[in-house]
Amino acid sequence: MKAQRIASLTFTALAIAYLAGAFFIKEPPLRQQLGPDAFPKTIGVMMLVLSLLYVRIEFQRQPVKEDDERAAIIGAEEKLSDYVDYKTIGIMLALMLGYGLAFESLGYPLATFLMFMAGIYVLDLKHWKRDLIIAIIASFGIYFLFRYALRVNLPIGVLKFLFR
Amino acid sequence: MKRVLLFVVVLLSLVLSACGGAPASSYPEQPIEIIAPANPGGGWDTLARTIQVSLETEKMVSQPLSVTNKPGGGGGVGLAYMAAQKGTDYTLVVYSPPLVINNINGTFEGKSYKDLTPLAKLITDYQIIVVKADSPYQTLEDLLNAMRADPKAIKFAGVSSPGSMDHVAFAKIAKAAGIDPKQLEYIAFAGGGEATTALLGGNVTFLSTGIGESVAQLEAGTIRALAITAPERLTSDLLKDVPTVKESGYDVTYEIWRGVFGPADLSPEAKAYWEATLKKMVESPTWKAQLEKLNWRDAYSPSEEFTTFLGQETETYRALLTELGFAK
Amino acid sequence: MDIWNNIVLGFSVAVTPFNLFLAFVGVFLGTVIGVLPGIGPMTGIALLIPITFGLPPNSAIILMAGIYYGAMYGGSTTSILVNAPGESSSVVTCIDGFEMAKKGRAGPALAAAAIGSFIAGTFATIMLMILGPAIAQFALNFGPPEYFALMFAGLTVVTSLAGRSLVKALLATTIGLAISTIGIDLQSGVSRYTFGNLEMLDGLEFLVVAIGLFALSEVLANLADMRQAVMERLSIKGGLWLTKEDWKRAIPAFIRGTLSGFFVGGLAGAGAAVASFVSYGIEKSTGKHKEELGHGAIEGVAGPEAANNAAAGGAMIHLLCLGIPGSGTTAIMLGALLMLGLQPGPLLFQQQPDFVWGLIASMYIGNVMLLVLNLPLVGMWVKILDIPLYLLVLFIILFSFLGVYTVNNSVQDLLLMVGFGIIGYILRRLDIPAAPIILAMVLGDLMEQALRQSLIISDGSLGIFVTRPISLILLILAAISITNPYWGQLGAFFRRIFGQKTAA
Repeated sequence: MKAQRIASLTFTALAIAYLAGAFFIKEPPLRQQLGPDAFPKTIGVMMLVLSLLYVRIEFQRQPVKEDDERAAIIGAEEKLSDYVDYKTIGIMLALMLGYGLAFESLGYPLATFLMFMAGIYVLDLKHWKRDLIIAIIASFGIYFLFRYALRVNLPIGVLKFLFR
Repeated sequence: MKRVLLFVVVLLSLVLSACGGAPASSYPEQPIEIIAPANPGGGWDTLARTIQVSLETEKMVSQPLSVTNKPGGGGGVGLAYMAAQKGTDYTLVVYSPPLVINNINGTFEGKSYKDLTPLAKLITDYQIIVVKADSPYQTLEDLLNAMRADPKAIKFAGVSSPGSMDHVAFAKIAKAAGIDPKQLEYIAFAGGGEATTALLGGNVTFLSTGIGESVAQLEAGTIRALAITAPERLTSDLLKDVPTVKESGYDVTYEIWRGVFGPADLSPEAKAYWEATLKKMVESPTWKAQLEKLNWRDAYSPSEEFTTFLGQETETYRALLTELGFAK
Repeated sequence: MDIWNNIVLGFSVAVTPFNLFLAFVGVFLGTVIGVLPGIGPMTGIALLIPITFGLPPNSAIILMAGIYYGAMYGGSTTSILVNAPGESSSVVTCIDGFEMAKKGRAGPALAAAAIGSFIAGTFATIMLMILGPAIAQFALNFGPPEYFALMFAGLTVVTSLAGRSLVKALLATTIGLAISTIGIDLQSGVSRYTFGNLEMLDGLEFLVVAIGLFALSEVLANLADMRQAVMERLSIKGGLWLTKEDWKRAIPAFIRGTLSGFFVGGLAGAGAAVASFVSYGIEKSTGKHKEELGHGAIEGVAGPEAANNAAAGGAMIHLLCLGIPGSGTTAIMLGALLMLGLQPGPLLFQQQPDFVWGLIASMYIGNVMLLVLNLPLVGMWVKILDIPLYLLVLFIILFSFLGVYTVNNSVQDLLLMVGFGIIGYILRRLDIPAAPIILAMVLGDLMEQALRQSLIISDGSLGIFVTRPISLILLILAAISITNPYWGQLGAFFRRIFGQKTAA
């Protein structure tokens, strides 16, 4: 409920920013029937109207009623998933960002291997020996498969000296 | 975790012993990457892959070659990637006039061919002006007369935004014919297919495009060519009856060149190697056969000449784009 | 009898051991390529160009067509199993396909996708054979105004993607439209919302957004509570094969999907992604179980999967009969054919009959091979769901990154994808549907360009959209669907057209 209200206000801010951005689109060198700013301005206005409607809906609704309604519609099953393990999500998101950043600099095989092992460390370490072999296949194995079977050179990064 | 580490060390050393330890020899010592600064399927990509195929079939390069697509920003992403390879010797890239155009219109934010090492101009294509087979316009002059009478009545199509090759090529002709190029009604399409459909469907009056793009329809007789921008008539059966723009009385030519570049600060050794190899390649039977199939024309010129040519191109385009309002 | 002779000619070309082998290699590789997210038919064929170089043209195109169809089949697999669309045309399949998998019905979903692809692929091949040139000629009637009307009508499908709140669905639509305006504007050359970033000049890559919003947000939802995770409940309930009830519901959807997909892809020349969305809209408005759509209805897989294959077949008609590529993939095939010394176009049928008919014959063979290959694979694919959840999560991350990277070779795309993963997760918590964002992204750019091209053609008069018959009809269809958000009237209309033939 609170989240919905924050979201509706965020969308309104987004719509205003997008609409404002449309006014900064440069004039094209050649005049046209419809310039490059016409479509963005239309979308911006639509977005603004809709987000204001969203705001109105969320701020008029009674909190308690909303929750009952939700429970009635979704059922007990999905209510359980309201629990959020922010720590795991946060760590894994950081891991994904790190993986993306390291994809070219460390190279695909090393970055993938490290991401995989870190993921296993965070999520479940029980079968680490089996998972280590899987990680090697998923990183170095796929690299070789792409390189020699598909002839795609995935980035090799710091391991460049290995593959002359 | 100790065992993990040990395992990794063993694995890495295995990989090392299998793949490493190549004896030191002269250039090239590493695989070569050819950058196509656009998506698969377009002119740049086809050229990059044709070079790859020719060099491999003729076994001219001892190292493996691969083509990597770096699309984006009208070739700007590829150019930025090449800038990061400055001083290395194993990355080549292919470009055509947008390399010059996008420098002048500001897309490349100051970067130009000067941030690359021009190695060779390889091929060229010319611009062709085509109308639908049943169009009332029989000659380029007919078309230009209609435009003089009412410039808004004639719409023409081309690929990519105003200020790009298809638009500028015709603007050059229009200007020589005394028509204000800013008055032209140009409609941009995302690809040659869409533009051709628009012409065949009668939605536009004519199409300004590369010859290569129009061969299928010309052969089938669904479209008719009014003029080409070559300095003289072409010799092929299909095109030998198409007059040049010059014949129509306007001293205009327009060339769509395509060439190969290395990164800036390419070592003299690598530069000499590629100059020699590319020269050998354009004389090889595989390359010649490919040109025939793809309807490309050989326009080989070596590094030095190519660099001078790029300087002239920059001047020509700057004048044209300034007049149209696209120069930055 | 002419056609008969040609078919015999075609099969004599296609049924040599070597060409059969290549067709098999093609469909097999294509399936693998399709299953990997990101590495779609475009990249697959581009990779093959050096390999096809030494082959005779007949064999080369048989290999490439195999890849093309195989990738169209394979694209749905990861959509259904892990909510990761392999290509743009299988995004819609995620909606009901993944819901079916969550209910333990991944087997029937995969089987329905394969059968739908087979029916549509075969239908499109037959149409290519008997009506190819006529269809290609008719397709020329679709100029910018018709395109605009078609995209506008397609956008009304968004109402069928709405969950409980129409406002939220429409808001999502405007976000998708806003994303589609990022980059250099084709009609003017002016850059919009790029903030000086070079890679943004070409706009946001479709797969970056789709994989972020669907696959990575699913990953995050699972990480949010590993004990209760959705994927844990995927274990198969019931058979892998379609039940009698499934067949009864899927067959009409196959037929509707095939026809509408062929219309969108073959006649109008719009892509397979648009075709799949339109088909979903039709299912949502006509089916007997339309209220189930979005919660794992088999029609939601059968229709769109048939539609995207019918559209892919339609694109082949444009390539072979007009020499005009109707999609990114056929554009690459055109380039590859040129490199092989063949010029697709109106004359190809006369000048190279053995080539064209050999290809057509191999398309039949390839479709049969794909069906035979894919149905047993269903059993193997569903086993993926038995992989421990934490490993499955890591593999989805790995393949999402790998796939998105191979599209543009760009690290920025990877970071954007993670960003869209976060956005997708937040939207999910807020109960805002992600599918309209994708739909609007696919249609928005095409719609805007077509609108502005039309207005240049008409010197600014909007009359162009109502004076041209095809455009007018499409706009009337759009108007009906807008005025009635529950598609009642339009539903009845489509039932009249499609329903009676299929009332089995």
